[in-house]
Amino acid sequence: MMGARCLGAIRQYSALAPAEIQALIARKKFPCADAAGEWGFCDLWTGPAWTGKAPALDVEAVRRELPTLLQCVEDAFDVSKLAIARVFSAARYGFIRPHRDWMGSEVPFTRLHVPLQTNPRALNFEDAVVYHMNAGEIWYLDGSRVHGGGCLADEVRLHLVLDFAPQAAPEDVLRDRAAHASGPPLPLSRPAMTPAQRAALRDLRPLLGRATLSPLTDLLGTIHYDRQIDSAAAYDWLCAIAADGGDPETIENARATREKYLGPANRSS
Amino acid sequence: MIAHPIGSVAFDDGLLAKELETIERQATTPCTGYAHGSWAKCILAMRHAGESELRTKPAGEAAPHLMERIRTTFAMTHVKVVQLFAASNGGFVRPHVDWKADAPLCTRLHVPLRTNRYAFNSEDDVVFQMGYGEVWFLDASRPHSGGCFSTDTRLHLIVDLEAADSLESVFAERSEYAPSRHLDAVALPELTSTDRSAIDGLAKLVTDANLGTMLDFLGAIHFQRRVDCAQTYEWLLRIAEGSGDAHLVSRAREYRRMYLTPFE
Repeated sequence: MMGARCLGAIRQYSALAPAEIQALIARKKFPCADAAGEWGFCDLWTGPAWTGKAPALDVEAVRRELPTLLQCVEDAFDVSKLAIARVFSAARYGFIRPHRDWMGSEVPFTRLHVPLQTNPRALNFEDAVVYHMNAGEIWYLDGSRVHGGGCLADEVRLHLVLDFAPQAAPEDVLRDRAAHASGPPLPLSRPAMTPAQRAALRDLRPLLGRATLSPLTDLLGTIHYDRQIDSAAAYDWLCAIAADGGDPETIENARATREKYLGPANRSS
Repeated sequence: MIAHPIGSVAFDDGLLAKELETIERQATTPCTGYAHGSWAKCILAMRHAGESELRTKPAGEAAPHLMERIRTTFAMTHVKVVQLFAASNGGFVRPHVDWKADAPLCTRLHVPLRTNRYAFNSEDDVVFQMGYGEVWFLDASRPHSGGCFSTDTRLHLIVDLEAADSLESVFAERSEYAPSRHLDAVALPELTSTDRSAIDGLAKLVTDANLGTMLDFLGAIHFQRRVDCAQTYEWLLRIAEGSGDAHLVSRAREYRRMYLTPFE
């Protein structure tokens, strides 16, 4: 059963001023070490549930710059439970590697995505399911599952990302729960991996080394967008290719990469 | 091989290290589009068009010792821009050329300010290492690349001067010019037929989604095998052609044009 689900849509989405979206696109973004290509984020404001180490960010400055966006958020969500609002931007084939945000029972946040600008090649995934979020929809993402997303086109994809207090259930942060209809993602249909494709991956073993490990991780982390395969398989392949190559340093680096994104190997992915 | 050391700069190591920490923490801007992974830069000083004076930027003001050493070492009237390039954790710039041999945009010098055993540069089919404080001339009309495959950050000072006929003229004192043909080239194994087959096999996997990441993977191979870094684009094109997808062939051709013949 999928963890990610659509909770409905922001009814006032059409009232969002295009100039505000352009202002968000133009804002300086910070890179993420776990991303490939053009992927960045910026913090917008913090809410009452913010407990992070960084200083709180004043909502009033955002109200002046992005009044229609803030109105949409305050109309649609119980902002008393909000920890932080950000934007995640992806463009020109930028994507986040498959990863988990946390493991175990200590949930750090309840995360919702609202696409502000998107295109058909802006895709998200959870485990083996790849899907698209439409503009204005409200999506819950389960960060304990292997997930990620990106924009596999030249255009800019812009998501508003709202982190609420971890104890808040996704549906409970909606102001008018009855007005929203929840549903699972519509999976993108992809062909299965063929034996020849699997063999082509394993054939890369002589080429995997210190310099190629990072770009190969990125390459493997894109295969599931086009093939019906679990996104976590990227790290299994990386470890298998390294093991085939037989270089102890590369084997250890591949194992460490897998652990960084999925957690210790003895946990199920 | 055209890149070679032409002199050196002496630093107060402790002062420099402190200044670099400040700049690294506050002022580097990540580069995307032409670099893979952690690769960033920062402008320390720049001479704007029509101006005679080099303007020190805030990052340069945070590094008075470094700027003083730059001013006393190089012919400042010829300096156009002074930058830092930072790379770590497998970050590297895709193999590329910056200009045509007969129309250089500047004379480019590299000075490693912090380096490690996994920091490399390349020109054509040679991968080499530059030592701390050495002043290197790089011929950016040749296919070249650079990166750092360690968790420690490699920091290079990049000094771009007006294109010079003589490398002696880049120094404040011509006596500082001390060229050397000694090259700390990295011994790499040749590319094997098995390697080539594995590269060609990527035609079974290439798609619009992964063409860019495939380029990055191919662009890193020359740091591990003795092969011309420009081959990256021939491999990518052959892989795209092998897929039978005209759109991918067109994108691979565009990558090759963008990185190897951007001036045409």
